[in-house]
Amino acid sequence: MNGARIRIFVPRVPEFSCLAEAARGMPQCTVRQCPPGYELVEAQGPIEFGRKALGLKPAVWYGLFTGGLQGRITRFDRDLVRIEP
Amino acid sequence: MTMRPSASPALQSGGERNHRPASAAGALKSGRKAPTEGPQTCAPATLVSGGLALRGVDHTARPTWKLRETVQFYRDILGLPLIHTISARGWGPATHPDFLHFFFDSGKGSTIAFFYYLGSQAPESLRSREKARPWPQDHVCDATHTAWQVDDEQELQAWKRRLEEKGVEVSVETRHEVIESIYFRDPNGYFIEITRKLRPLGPLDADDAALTLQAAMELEDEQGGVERLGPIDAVWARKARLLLDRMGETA
Repeated sequence: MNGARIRIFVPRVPEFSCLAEAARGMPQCTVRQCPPGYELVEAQGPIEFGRKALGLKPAVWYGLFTGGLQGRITRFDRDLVRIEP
Repeated sequence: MTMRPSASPALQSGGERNHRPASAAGALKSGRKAPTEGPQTCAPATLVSGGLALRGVDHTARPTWKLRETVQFYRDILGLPLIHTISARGWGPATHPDFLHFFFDSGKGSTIAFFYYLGSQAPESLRSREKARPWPQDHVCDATHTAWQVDDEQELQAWKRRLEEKGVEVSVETRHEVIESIYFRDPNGYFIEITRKLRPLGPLDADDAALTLQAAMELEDEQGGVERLGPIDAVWARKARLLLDRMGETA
């Protein structure tokens, strides 16, 4: 992939596994193993995640990108996050 | 850890372990490889450096200007045995030389302790603090708190029931990344947490922790201080770059 892209590093720990799992089900995302200890989600276009769909309580939700994120967060409220390249 | 239950992430977790002999940030800078993902287990020893280790908490201490209420709360409501009291003359500073210093057993050899300085006045910042709701209202007093550990969800729920039955307002359970907690205030307004571990911490957690702080410290250096940092997006972006560097890929 060329040009600006979204990259999300997801720590391979139980509380964040839902994020990589959700990305695997999104056609615009690719997910690859990124040893040691992370999975890397990449996308060329905007992506959104919903808190309830991920099954997350707010305390973890608000730290969703603690593994590292490249991309612009254009919305991040209690229920939805949108990231753009 | 303190976080407003079900609210904004005002405060960040403190990994209350020191099970790694070397920081991952140090490993990065020295060119050593970060640890590979291993089993999510805790090292049994708390090796810090040079063979020295800490063995857990002996006590934490706070001042109180409410002697009777404090004893009633910790001994009678929480049920923590009062196990030691020091009464001293002329040992404190000139402004409050005489004091009581008393200790309640909080398990595994730890205590929570209080100073009661005779002839002193409570600071304005503590006035009416006990009436505050059981979630953080500032990033100094409430960030400075003790979290006691229980074994499992049943114990956590039992403590919540006990406190509520005795008229203490308790927060909803907050499920953090690796612990689940309830919060309440003592008669002084001090913030107290009871928590249970959701999973053990492992080498990956420690490496990730160091990487996050490395990203923040780099930005702090560049910006000239924490006052100019924020939002957190910059830390997340720097961390991503550090990980891409580790992978040998360009940003």
